[in-house]
Amino acid sequence: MAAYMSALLTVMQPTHLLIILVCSLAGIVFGAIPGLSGGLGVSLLLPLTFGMEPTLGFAMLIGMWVGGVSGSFIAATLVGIPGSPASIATCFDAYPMSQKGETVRALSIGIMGSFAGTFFSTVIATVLSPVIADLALKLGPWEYFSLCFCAITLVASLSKGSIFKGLMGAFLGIFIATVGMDPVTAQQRFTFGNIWLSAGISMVPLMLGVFAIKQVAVDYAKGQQEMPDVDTKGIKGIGIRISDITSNLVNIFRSFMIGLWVGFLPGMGSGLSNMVAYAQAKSGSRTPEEFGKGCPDGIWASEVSNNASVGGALIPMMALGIPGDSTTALLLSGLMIHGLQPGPLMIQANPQISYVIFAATLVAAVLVLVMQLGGMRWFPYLLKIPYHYLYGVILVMCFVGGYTSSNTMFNVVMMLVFAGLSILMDMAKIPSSPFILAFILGPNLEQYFRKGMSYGTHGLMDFVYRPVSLIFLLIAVVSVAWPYIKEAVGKKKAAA
Amino acid sequence: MKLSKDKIVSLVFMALSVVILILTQNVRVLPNLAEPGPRLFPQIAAIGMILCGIGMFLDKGSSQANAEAYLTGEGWKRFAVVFAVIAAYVLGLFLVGFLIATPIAMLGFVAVLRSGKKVSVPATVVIAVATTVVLYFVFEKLFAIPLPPGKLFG
Repeated sequence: MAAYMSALLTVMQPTHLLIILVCSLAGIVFGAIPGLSGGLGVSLLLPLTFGMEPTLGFAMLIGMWVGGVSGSFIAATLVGIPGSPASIATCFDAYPMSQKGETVRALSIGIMGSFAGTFFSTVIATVLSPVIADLALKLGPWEYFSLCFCAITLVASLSKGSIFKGLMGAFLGIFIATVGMDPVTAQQRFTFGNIWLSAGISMVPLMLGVFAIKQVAVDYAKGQQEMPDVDTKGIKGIGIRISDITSNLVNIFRSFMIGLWVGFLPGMGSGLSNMVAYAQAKSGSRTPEEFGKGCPDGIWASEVSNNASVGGALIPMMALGIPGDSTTALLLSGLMIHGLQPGPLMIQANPQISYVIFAATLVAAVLVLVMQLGGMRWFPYLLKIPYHYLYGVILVMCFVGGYTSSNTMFNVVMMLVFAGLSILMDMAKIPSSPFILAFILGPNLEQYFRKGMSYGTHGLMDFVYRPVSLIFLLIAVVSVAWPYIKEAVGKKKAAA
Repeated sequence: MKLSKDKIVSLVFMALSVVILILTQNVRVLPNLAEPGPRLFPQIAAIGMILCGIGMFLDKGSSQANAEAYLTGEGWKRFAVVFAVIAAYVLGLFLVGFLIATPIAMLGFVAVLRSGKKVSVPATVVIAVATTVVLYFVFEKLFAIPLPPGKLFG
């Protein structure tokens, strides 16, 4: 508790507060504009943190993340285009409500839902993460290997499209992670005598290439969406009624739990939770026919759940060193860049920075609430920011980031290589989430496996003899086999 | 026989995996190791990619879902243009450094990304210069993180 209070005081310092405020605002802008996202903002800011004091750097990244997840409902409500996949389900009811002349009510529900989701999920993450980390400390390399393996297979198997493509992305990520010095015996692998490759592939150019450069280049090539005009005259006041909250308490709680759980699962985040929560809200409603016509229940479900995934994703990141979604993957790489070792020892070894992350998330949620309630009337103008200026600045920031990650042009070129690879993967519909997760967890996966093999007495069987390890391995196997089991059962039922 | 996009991709990945398997043989393994050694994981990745490639090659469903074009002909042209400006910027950073290359590149980016829309030239120049100055100040002066000096001036 003392460590948390100290972290909270750090975050409440004027410099930290100011930076969270500015970055949350930038995050709201990134979240609101379709095509951009808080994750992209975090990848752009990451290089800036190299020269910063870690607590200030993470306050900045967290502000961008929280603002980004929250801001995505703005375009969904005003023009019916989701700012990011996190708000796809928000469009179904917020836009029709806005069309009926209740824009302020729709926006207010979105704001309150976002706040409730982020705030309470962060409180739970703050309490649960140290407990889970303590439990994880009792595990050995066998369990850690199986946990990382399980996380990668879960993400690969739940990716959109064919399981082979999901696994292909994962294996490619594992291979790229093996470039450089091997983590156990320090032998060079696939470096071809290049000194820049001997330290391995740097995360920053990979992330910037995959997240930012590809996004801007492909968005431009596909042709940007023209934003329809929004009537700004009707946007005043708060608009939300007490009955909007009281009549939705069960829905809010259910959506919150869905968001928290989906966020906790590796690789899945707000993009999935909003759809699941919306479907559950509709099936649990007494008036399902109202959904899709401006029903407040649908907005609550989507916005509470996608923001609850923020806290959900923080738990595996802080307690186990496993990213809950792509943005936490970026935050994890930020921790590593600052010389911290994410994993079960992280909170114990670095309580200050760990609790600053939780406290900054909480403070960012409050600041975003205040800014959004106070600045609602300016939301339509966010959607009018010219893409050509914004994308130009983003591209320049990418190259600055690529260069400053190692002070060489080599990483700038690598960034372009990864942008190209990401476009090729996109063309072949090979998902990038398992690729990124496998790249991040790859070195740990290898290290734990090799340590497990040398520490144990039964070789490979040690991974099966230990119950926790066996459970993770079984989950991994079932996650890969499940689509085929489901298909076989479906065929059998159809035949019967 | 016309191969679908998925089948071509799977063949490319399988070929790449075979190359990885061959290159893995060049990795030095220390004698008397009590663990599988540094070749194992690249080999697992390569064999995994081969197996997934076979799966993709034999998967009937995905080739139909993959039929639509990623970009139109016009889209590819636009992509080539933006890529050319990006490549020119990288060359500029390498040769003349951040302070000279960035404002010029910003003008280039805006000229390309505006997609035929009218833009105010003074505003574009101000934004290009402001972006350069702000980034230079924040990185070089505030956080002492060096930016590309350029081969000709560095």
